[in-house]
Amino acid sequence: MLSKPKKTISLILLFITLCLLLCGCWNYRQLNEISIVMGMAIDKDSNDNYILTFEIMDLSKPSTNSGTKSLFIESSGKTIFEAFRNSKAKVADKLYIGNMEILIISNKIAAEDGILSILDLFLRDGEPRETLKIAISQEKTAKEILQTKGISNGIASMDLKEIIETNQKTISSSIDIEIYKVYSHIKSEGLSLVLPAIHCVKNTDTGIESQEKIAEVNGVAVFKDDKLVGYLSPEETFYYLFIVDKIKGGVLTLGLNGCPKPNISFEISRSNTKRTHINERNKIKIKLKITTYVYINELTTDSDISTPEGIKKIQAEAEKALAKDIKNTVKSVQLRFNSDIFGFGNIIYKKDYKLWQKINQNWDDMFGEIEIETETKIHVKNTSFIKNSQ
Amino acid sequence: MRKPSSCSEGKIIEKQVKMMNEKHSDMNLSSSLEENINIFKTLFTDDDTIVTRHIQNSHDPDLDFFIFYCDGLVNSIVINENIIKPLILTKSLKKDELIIDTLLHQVLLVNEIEKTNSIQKIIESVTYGDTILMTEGSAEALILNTKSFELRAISEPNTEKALSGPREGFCEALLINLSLIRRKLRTNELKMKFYNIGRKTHTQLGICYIESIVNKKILAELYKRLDKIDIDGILDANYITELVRDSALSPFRTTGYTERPDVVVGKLLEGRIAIFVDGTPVVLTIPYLFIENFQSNEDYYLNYYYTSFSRMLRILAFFLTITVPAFYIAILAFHREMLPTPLLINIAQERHIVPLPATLEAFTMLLVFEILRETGIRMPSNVGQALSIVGALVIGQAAVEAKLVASAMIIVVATTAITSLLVPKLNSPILFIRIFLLAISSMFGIFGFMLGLGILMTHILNLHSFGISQITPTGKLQYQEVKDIFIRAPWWQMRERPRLITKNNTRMK
Repeated sequence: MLSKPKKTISLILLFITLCLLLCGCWNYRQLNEISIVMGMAIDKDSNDNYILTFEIMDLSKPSTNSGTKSLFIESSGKTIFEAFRNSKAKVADKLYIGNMEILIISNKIAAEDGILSILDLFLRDGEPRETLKIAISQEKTAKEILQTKGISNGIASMDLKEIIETNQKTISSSIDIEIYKVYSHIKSEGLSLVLPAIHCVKNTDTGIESQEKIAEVNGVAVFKDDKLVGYLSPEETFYYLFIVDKIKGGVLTLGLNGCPKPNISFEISRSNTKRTHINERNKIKIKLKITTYVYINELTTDSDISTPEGIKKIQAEAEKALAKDIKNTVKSVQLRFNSDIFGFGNIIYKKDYKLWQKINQNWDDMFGEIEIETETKIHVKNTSFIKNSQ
Repeated sequence: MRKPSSCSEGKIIEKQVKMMNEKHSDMNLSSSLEENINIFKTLFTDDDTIVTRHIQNSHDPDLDFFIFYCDGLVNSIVINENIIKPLILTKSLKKDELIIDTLLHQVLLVNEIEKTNSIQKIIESVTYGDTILMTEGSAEALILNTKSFELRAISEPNTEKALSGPREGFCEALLINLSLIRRKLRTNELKMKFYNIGRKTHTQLGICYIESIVNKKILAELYKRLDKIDIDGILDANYITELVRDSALSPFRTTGYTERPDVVVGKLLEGRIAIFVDGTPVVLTIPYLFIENFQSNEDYYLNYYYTSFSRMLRILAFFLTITVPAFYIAILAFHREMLPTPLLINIAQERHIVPLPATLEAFTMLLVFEILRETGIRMPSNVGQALSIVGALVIGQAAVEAKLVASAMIIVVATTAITSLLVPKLNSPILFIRIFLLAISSMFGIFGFMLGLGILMTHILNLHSFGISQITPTGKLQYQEVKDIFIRAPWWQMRERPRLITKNNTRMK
C-alpha cells in the first residue's frame, strides 16, 4: 500500500496521463489560425493530377458591413490528400474542413475512376463530417459549379447545400444524400447509387446582359457500382422519388379532360409507397402501392371539384397518369442505364434472401426485363379557397 | 480609576495586574470588602468607563455597600431608583452573614439578580452592562441586571430582500434575536441554550432547536465540536462556521446562514439547529443540505408554480455560471465542428481580428468582471453610478470596438456574471469551479470539461454537514423528498420533513 500523499500524487499523475492518452482526435487550435472551407470541388487535369478547388470564408472584413464573402484556393497533387496538403503552400492558415457543406465531383472522375477513390479520404479522415453533401457536376469541371454566385447569401456552397436539402420537400427534382449513405448505397446488395447533379445556367434576372452564372440542381446522376453512367432529368427524378418512397412534397401536374397541356396542379402533402415483390412461376414482379395525399392548388379548366363525384373523377385521372409516368420512368432507366437505382434487388434481398441468393449473380440482366405493377391511389385533401375560377 | 502617579508605583501595579490577569480566572472573592475593591481597581486600571460608588444605609451608616458598573451600558434610572434608593432608605437591615440574601430577596428592586463569588464571572457581567453590588463581610457579590445599550432597529436585511412574506430581520443583540424566534414558535419544546465562547470576547451563543424534532445525534456532535473551540474572539457567525464545519477545505457551505427570523423558524421546524451569535445578525443553521443553496424563503410564500420555476431557474443558473466560459472555450478551441456553420463563421470573423488567444481572453475578462464586482461591494454606494458606466462602457463596448475582445466573449462573461447573481449562496464555490473548469477545458477540450464536471460531482456527493450527506444518493430517492428540491410542491403535498435531517418526519397528518 502506498502512503496517502503518495497515493494522491500517483492518482493525479494517472489522471493527467489518461487525459492525454484517451481523448482521441483533438487539438487546441485558435479560430484565427484556421480558414473555414465551405465547399470543395475535385477535378483532374490532363496529367492525371487531382485539382482541388476550395471555397473559403473571407474573414478579413468584419461582418457588420455587407454580407460575408468567399475566396477560392486551388491546389493540385497526385492524390487528393497530397493536393489538400499542398494548399498550405498558398494559405497561411490551415484549411479546416470540419464545417464543409458540399463536395462537388467532376463527372469525368465519376465516370472514369469511380467515386470510391474519392470517398475514402473523406470517410477515413476525422475532420470532415459524415453528413457532408455530395454532388456531381454536369459541367466540364466541378470548379465551375463552385465558382458561381450564391443568390441567397453570396456563398455558393452554402446555397447549394440548402438547395439540395430543401429540394425533396418542395419540388422533388433531385435527391438529398449524405456521404455516409453514399458509401452504404454503393455497397448495398441490389441497389445503385444516385447523386444530385448540378449544372450552371446564366442568370438572366439582372436585366443587363450578364455573364454571371448560377448553379442549378438538375436531376440526378445515375451510377452503376461506383461509376457514373448517366443522368435523370428533373421530371424523371420526380417519378424516381415516388418509386423509392422518398417523396415528401412537390407539384404534380395533369391535363384534365384530355387536354395535352396541364391544367391542374396538385401539391403533394404526403405520399407513401409500399414496395413488394411477387414471385410467380419463376417470374419476378415488383409491386408498387402508392398512396398520395394532395391539395388542389391551381385549376385552370372547368372541372367539377365541389362534389365527391367530381373529385373522384379527377383522382382517377391523376392516378392513371401517375401510374403511366412511373412505368415510363422505370422503362427508361432499364433501357438507358440498366442500373438498379430503384433498389428492386434490395427489396428481394431484404424480404426473400433465399431467392436473392439464387438470382444474385444475374440480377443485372434480370433488372432490365423486370416488370412492375403499380397501384396508385390519390386522395384530394382539399381544394383551397375557391370552387372554380373558369 | 487610579492614575499611575509615579514610576515605581506604576511598575508595581503593572506587576499586580499581570498577576491578576493570569490568575483571576480561578480566583474567588474574599470576605473583606476593601480587599475585593482593590482587586477590581487593579483589574480595571486605566479603564475610565468603570464607575464606582460607595453607599451607606441612612439608618445604619455602618452598613457599607459598594457598587460599580460600566458607563454607557447601563440604565441609570434603574440604578438610582431600584438599587441605590432601597439600599440607602431601607430600615432594619442587619449586618450579618445573611445580608447578601436579604438584599437579594427583600431589598433590591431588580428583576434579574445573580449571586456569585467568581471574579471571572463578575468581569464578564460588568462589561455586559450589569451592575455589581458588594458588601462588607460577604464573600459573594450580586450581579444586578441593568443592561441598556443602543441597538440597531429591527429592519429588513439588505442581503435577503423578499417580495412577500415577513420583512423583519435580526439585529446584533442575541436576546432580541431570540425573542423574534420565540414569538413565532410559542411552544415549550423550543429550547434555547446559551453557550459561551471566546477567551477575550466571551461571546454568547444561543443554540436553538425543537426538542421533539431535532436529531439528538447532530446536537451532540455540535456540542462536541463547540467544546473543542479555543479562540480569543468571535465576532461573527462565520468564525463558528469555519471552526465547526465538515470538509474544511471545500469552498461549498456546510452550514446555512440567514438574517431572517422566518427562515430560522422554517429550518427549526424541519429539525435543524440554529446557532445565534451575539453581536451579529447572522444566524447559522445546521445541518445544511446542498439544495438549500437554491432554496429561498420566498419559495414558500409565493405561488408554487412560480416558485418551482424560479427554483429550477436557479439550478440552471448555477450550472450555466460555472460551465459557460469553459464550454465556450472547449467548443471554440477543440470542437469547432459542433458549431453550426453560420455561427462558426460569425465567431471566426470576430476572432480573426482579436489579438489574444480565446483562453487568455476568457481568463482576462473573468478577472476584469471579478474586479468590477469586488469594487462594487467595497466602494461607497454613491459612486456606484460611475462604476457601472465605466464597467459597461469601457469593458464592454470600448473593448469590442478597439478589437481587444470578441463580442461573443462579452456575451459569455455577461451570462456568467448575471447567472452567478441568481445563486448568492454559492458565490465562493462558483468562483473556483468556474476557473477550474475553464482551465481544464482549455487544456483538454470537452473531454477535460466532462472530467472537471465529474470531479465536481464527486466532490459535491462527498460533502457532509454534521455527519449528514448533503446530497441524497439517487438510489435512495423517495417521492416525498423530491417535493422540495427541483420543485416546490404545494403545502398540502409536503407532508413530511426532510428524511435526512430528522427521524420525526411527519409534518402533516
